[in-house]
Amino acid sequence: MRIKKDVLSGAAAVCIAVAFMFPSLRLGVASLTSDGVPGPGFFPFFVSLLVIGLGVALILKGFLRKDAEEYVTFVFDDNSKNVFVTIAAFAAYLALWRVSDFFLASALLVVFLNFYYARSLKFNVVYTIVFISMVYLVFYRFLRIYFVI
Amino acid sequence: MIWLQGFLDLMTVSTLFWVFAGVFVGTVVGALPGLSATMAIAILTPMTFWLSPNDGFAVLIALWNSAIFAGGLSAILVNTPGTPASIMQTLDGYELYKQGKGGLALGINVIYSVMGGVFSTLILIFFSFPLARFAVRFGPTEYFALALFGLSMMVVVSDRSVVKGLLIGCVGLLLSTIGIDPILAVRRFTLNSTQLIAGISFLPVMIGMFGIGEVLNQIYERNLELEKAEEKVKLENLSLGKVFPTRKQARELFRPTMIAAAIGTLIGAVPAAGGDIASIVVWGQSRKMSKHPEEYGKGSLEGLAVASTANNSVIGGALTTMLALGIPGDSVSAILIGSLMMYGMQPGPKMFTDNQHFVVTIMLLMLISNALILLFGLLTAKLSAKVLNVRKETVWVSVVVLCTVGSFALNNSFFDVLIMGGAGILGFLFKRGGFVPGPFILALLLGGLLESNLRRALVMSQGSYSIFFTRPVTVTLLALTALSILFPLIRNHFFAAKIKERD
Repeated sequence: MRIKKDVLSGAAAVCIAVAFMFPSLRLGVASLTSDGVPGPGFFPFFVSLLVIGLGVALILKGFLRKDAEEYVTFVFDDNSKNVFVTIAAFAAYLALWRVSDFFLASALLVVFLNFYYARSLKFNVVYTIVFISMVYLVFYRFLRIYFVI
Repeated sequence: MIWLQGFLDLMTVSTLFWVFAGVFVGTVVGALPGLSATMAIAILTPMTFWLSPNDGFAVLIALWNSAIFAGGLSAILVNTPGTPASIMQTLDGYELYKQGKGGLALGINVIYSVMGGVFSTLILIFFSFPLARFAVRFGPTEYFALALFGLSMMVVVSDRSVVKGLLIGCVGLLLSTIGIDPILAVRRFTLNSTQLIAGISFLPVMIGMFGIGEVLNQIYERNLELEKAEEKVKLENLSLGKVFPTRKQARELFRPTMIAAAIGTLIGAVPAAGGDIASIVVWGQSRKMSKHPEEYGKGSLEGLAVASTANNSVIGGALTTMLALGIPGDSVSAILIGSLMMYGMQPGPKMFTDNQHFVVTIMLLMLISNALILLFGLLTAKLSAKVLNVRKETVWVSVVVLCTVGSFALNNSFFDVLIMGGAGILGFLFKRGGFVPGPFILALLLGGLLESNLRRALVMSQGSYSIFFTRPVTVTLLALTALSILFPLIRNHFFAAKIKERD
């Protein structure tokens, strides 16, 4: 099944708005006191309504549009593979940082991405040493950011 | 006296070193296509919190000015704008380079970028104080209307689809309500997480969206054939020739560039309109007024000079709005607002009374940065081509690590790094879905201001909405907001065919 970009974006926005709308009602939309101060749910509730309205408008717009390029397309080409690998490497980097050391994790990320993007071994080694050393000197030594979680 | 004191405070080795560092980093960042001033400032801002306010702002202001100027370097030498603001410099700059006048084009870029920066700083100095004095009388209704106007302008200028801009802005507003309620101090949407009590900080979001999001988007849109063509252009390595324009050329360029500086500053002062819009508008306008319109786009010195002037003059305009009203003129000034807040200062009219000294410092830093750019830019004009040899992959890898460092450095918080990473992926998805991140980020920043002033106004009026229609400034701003949203809707509806043809 082919879905239009606007329809998908509109539906996602409506879902987010609904997730905010019901808790807003529980927080209280109307004034809780006699001084006219609207409740904590007042602003998010009305913004949720706005988002739902605009989301529905976008969905309708999506249905009415006829151009083919407005469909969500996914081709698993080299570029999209590179995006996935970069995101996965970043996630692995954060996980590694949690269980080990920031500089070790950063060095491994840099080595892996340079290797993945086909940089030469010599460049990879030199760049990793220089870049990570600079991060260490500037942030750890000079600015005293210790990267401890 | 305050000016002299401010100047003397800045004449320290430390501050001058950071100004130079900002100019240097900004030149590299600006010259490299794919690294924008916004991205660099978003990444570097958290690191400046470890410096004194003077030194921190020395880096940021110098970096901002020099990155916009340096965007013209790659526009001239490889026909690719280094930053979006230098898009119009490709038209005449690259043509001049092909004609063997690359040195002159680089010189014009330096001289007139600095002229635009200095002109707009003078406007900032002369107009921000009266504007702040006028705005000091603003109450909650005016601030509510002002925040709404700023948001509406961002929606309008950022995308042709007003519905998408409004939608993404409203989603940003929704997320800005996470945390403690500004009036009644009740927890909202925190999912029992202590880290969400303070809300979603917009700085990690900005770092993610403009850093990781941009990198992912560049990877996704990579065109190897185009890159090969760019490499070929770099290898051409044509002779650059002389750098300085002749007296006659300088005389001829004076009038159009002064007009360009005035228009650019004005556009910069409009919330959300940035250097790209200024240079497009100014270049088009100058061509209409020029004695030689036929030369525009074919290597016109005037075309290059007005575009160079316009994009740098935006900075002073954006700072005027930011400092005097507390409303960001563009994405960079949005980050600077966050930065000032981290230093315990609140941009807006109160800053001109409570932190007047620092307002003066920022203005002086603008002048010092521009002086250094002139010196550095002219001395290194012919060397700058070397920067362009850095490969995209190197930039991507560096940006990923620096975004992580920057977001962690904000509060020594791993949670901020996770927010940054999530925002990066969200920023990428926004771009793929045809959304621009600007309205989302601005809404996240202005959401608190908008809500707290709306509710404060309702407290003042005992819940009556008539308060928004009885104060002239509020009514004017609300009318402008309505107009700014409705005008593009009407234009798109009735002139859709013409717009498509023009594009």
